Amino acid sequence: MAIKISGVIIIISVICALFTGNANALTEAAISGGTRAVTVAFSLLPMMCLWCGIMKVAENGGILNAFSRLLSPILRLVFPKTAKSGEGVNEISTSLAANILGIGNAATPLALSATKKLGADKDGKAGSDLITFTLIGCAPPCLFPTTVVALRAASGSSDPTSIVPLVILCSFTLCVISIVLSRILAGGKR
Amino acid sequence: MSASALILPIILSAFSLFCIFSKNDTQNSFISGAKEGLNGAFSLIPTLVLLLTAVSMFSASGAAELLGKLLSPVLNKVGVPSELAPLLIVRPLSGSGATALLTDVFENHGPDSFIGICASVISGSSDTVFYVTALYMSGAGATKSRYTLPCAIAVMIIGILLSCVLVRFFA
Repeated sequence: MAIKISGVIIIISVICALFTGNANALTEAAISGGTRAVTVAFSLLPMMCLWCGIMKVAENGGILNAFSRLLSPILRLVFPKTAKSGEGVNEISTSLAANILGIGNAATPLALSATKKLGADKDGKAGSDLITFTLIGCAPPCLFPTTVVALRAASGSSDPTSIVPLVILCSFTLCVISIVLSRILAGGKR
Repeated sequence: MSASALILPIILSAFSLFCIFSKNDTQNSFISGAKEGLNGAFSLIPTLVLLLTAVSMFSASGAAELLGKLLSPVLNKVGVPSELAPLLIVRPLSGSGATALLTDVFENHGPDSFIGICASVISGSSDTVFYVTALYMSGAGATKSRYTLPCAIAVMIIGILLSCVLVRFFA
């Protein structure tokens, strides 16, 4: 995906530069862009190490499991079909817990094992619980946006974590909206 | 001093207390986790080189400004800074692309400006909608996602609007 996006962006840029006459700046930008990538990756590095390290300690110390147990009663209300069969509630709650705590590395494989349990109908149609789960995954609730905080710090922000309360408020509101929307559209078909 | 400046120190204190009193081998856990973070940040470089080359060219050619101008009648009406137009378009498509554009916003407008804070909140509370939908659906073996994608996009748009409203009220 990244290669297609950058391809489209580069072609638009070149065409645009021909019209605006910014061709000199274009070459300069093409060369300096790679340097910026290295600077960005290196500025993300310490924060990513620190956060992933802390979260590994939390995971091995049982905090992920405890948090996931805390979530599961709520999830039984949100995923009625799954709760009835009992299959997959654990996977869903661990994957969401990993998302909320910002354990990105762990979240994706956990989400995949949850989707496997949720499955699809015989004709390949997605069930209402799978749709709810996907919608939550598209706007995941987040307690600490590691990458954003690290990028802010690297760009010289005077208060890199100032946005954390707003991200929490916004992402959890969106999660509730996703759930409500999905339950409404699921209608009587449970 | 703002309360939000204490978030990281509080997390680190809780972490430290846990490590001091835990009977687990927390040092090994920390190091193995940190190594994952190290690999994660390093493996970003190849994709980011490509994307930031493209994004830098996009800004330098004047195309970013043009796109902002083109979309500003719509964006301004709903209270979203038009400078964020490229970020908003790439955010649902590519995670590293969004990272590249967020860096660009911070560099051009500053992370603590209204535009920078809006971009931060939008980035923190959204995800790569198309990728996640494709991944989850194929993981479940579903070929018909029904109303998933329209809903996901609707929620994303609500998220963008909500982020900017929240920033206006609280930041």
